[in-house]
Amino acid sequence: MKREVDEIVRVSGLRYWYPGSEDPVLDGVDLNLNRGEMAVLIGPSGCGKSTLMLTLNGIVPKTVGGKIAGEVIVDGTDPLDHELAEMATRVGLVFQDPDSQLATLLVRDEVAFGLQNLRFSREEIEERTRWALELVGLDDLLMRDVFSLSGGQKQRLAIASVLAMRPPIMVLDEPTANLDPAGADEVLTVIGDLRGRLDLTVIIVEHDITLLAARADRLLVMDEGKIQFSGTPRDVLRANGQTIRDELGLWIPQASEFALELEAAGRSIRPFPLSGNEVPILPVATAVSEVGAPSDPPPASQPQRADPAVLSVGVGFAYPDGTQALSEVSVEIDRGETVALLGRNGSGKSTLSYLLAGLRTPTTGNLEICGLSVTKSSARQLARHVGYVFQYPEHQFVAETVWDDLAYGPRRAGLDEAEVEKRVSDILAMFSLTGYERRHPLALSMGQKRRLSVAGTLITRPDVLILDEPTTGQDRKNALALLGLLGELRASLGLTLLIITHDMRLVARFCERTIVLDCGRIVFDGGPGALFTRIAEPGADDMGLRVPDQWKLARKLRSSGAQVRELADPEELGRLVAGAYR
Amino acid sequence: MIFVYRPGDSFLHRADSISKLVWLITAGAFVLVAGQWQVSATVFVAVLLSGIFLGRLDASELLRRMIPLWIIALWLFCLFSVLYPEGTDPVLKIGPLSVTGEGISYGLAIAFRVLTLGSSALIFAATTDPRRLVNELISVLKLPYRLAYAFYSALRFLPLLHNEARTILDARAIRGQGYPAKGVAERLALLRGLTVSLLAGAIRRVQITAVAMDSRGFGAYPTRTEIEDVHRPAGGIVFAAVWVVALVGYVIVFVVFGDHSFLRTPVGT
Repeated sequence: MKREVDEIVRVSGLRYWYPGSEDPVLDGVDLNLNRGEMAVLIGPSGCGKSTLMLTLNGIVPKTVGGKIAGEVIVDGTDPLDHELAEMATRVGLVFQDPDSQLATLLVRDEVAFGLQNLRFSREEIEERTRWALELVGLDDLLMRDVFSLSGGQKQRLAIASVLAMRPPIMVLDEPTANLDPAGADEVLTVIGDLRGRLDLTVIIVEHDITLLAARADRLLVMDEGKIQFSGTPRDVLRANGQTIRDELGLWIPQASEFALELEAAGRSIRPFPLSGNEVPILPVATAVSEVGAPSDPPPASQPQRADPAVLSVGVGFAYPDGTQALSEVSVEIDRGETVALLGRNGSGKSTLSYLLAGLRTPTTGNLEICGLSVTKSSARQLARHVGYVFQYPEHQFVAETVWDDLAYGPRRAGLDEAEVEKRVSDILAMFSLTGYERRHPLALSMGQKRRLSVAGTLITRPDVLILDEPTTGQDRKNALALLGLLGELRASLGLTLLIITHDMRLVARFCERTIVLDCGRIVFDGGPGALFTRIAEPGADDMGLRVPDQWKLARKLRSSGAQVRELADPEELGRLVAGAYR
Repeated sequence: MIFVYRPGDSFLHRADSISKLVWLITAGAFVLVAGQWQVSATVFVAVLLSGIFLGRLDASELLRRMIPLWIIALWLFCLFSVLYPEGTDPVLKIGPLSVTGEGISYGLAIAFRVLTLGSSALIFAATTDPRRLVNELISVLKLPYRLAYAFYSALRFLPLLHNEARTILDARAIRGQGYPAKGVAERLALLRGLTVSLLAGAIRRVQITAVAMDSRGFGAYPTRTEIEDVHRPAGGIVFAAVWVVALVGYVIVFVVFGDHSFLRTPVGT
């Protein structure tokens, strides 16, 4: 049965200037959405995605201020002509940070919050609260403290608190960015389920559409204050995937990257794939096996264990309240290795990394970094060998200009001023920060802050560098640039890299070893290929991880006889197959 | 954090927040008007016993959580014992400094004031559910709900800020700042950096919270529906009344007997 099209959002010629700004952040946005549609809005940082979403309920410009021109019609009304309270029943907003958007301390109070503000009766509030919590699967946590919820549960609670007001439109701004894969799955499953049951119009703002492409009806790509591309994800990615990836620097699904390489060689996959499962591989694999292809590199020679970067024997750690965060962790990491530290949130990854950095002391066992015992060495001694790049770069800036922040470490190490100047100048150039020397670190863009935090850590030339979620919140261009730089430094300085991440693309592309923690114990230690093989087995515990599509594609090709690298990235696979056709 | 709510079912937990607020203010007023350190010490002991017996707070944990207060009180005691200018009864002489009996009494009075103010606030926080407090501030004291929620939001942010402060200190420590902090200059630099980072994070959070609350109609109307009934057990009201009567009695007795020392700087007896 053909569905009747019912337009619910119409934006035309929308322009918006923030207070005090001469350049519009929205510069002629045109957008139409139909009732029940699920749209994903992507675009580089600062392109105006979030601002556009805030115009839909009138928070921009009513609360934020600034100047607006053009037309916004939402559910038949102009947000500028209606109070925020009324718009709250038309557009629900869910934000990225689960902690900041919750307003109360109890699950029930959080869901009731909006309804209380809108002066619904007690009976109606009670009925709607139970209804909304049931929809997101939190009805058994009615009287729970919000701080005791997991990240995924908090986001589901945020969704319930908006749903309770029964808006026909729900806007979610990077709702899974702060979650581990299990939490992200929880949230996306709930969104998909709600959409089907309530005929909701859903708009999700994201950096990365890998998880959403196959679920969305519409992909909107924004840049420079305008919607540049709009259509079904398949059509948009097929026609503009290369531009989106290479020019806008955004992540696209790996299966689509693979298909784009084939398209460039004149071969199409129909329908254009959005996930690894959608790639019909057999004819492609046959072509590759006929021409032959590079196989995995020979196994590395037996690792040198004489002087490991990290040596941990039976290490355990308990917090003062008795919580056992780590138990019996024994591991050796060689100099120059790149190791991914993986696991669910709360599995002990951060605790282990804190022990390695000398920020906490093991309660049991022996831990050595570059031959120094963590328990017997001073923090200053350890700091010469270990650098730590925190997830939020703002946390580790120690000075008020970029130059002074970079110079801080070398000066503390007692280097003379000429050497300090040389090191700072070199690293500024290496990390593309030249010209920003006098800027306050907090005034830099997100990508620049991330680069500065890494540069400030590396300038003291540590042997081991720990990176906490280095690609989170970063678009593809920035993330790959940073990884490329780290790869060069690893090769030239013999740097040992330890990367805490949930990003399996990063693991497949960059790491040679993975260590998975669960409940404070190591449950897997091996190469990424072996890890993916293990968690992809039917019925196997996925350890809270997600197998990347590139590995699935490579496995399909290999199982059909093609000799391809197990961890080949999608462009490589695509070029290989395209070459075979030629 | 020392000011943390501990759920429970004690007399003080059941008592309404407004009565406990009256108790808190009365205890504070008592030590502020009392001239003699013995009175302040008695009030302090009464406050502690209220927390232990009426609030069923673990005595050792309570005393441990008061460690910062003990340190401040000891420091003030030493400082004011030495600096008291009107002493005539020297007990101890250290170089140019002399400690007098009056100075010691004065120092003790100041120390017990601090201990009473701090411990009563700690007991209030430990036995008062913030949700109930906000609800009763709005329903009983008729505080505008926007104002009450500002307080509530601040409470929500405390654990987040606490965690963020720890992360910031760790992040700076790994770069060698303040680990251990050497000298006043480095401590000040660490404090300034921590404040700037925390403020930047707090502003970002507050903006998100404000938008999230506005987008759910917060402040759209002068009133909102309250979903909890207010219960004010008689026991709590009587408890607060006893303290108020004691304070009023103390003031009257000292006025009647003509001793106005409570209006002056505390002195020894």
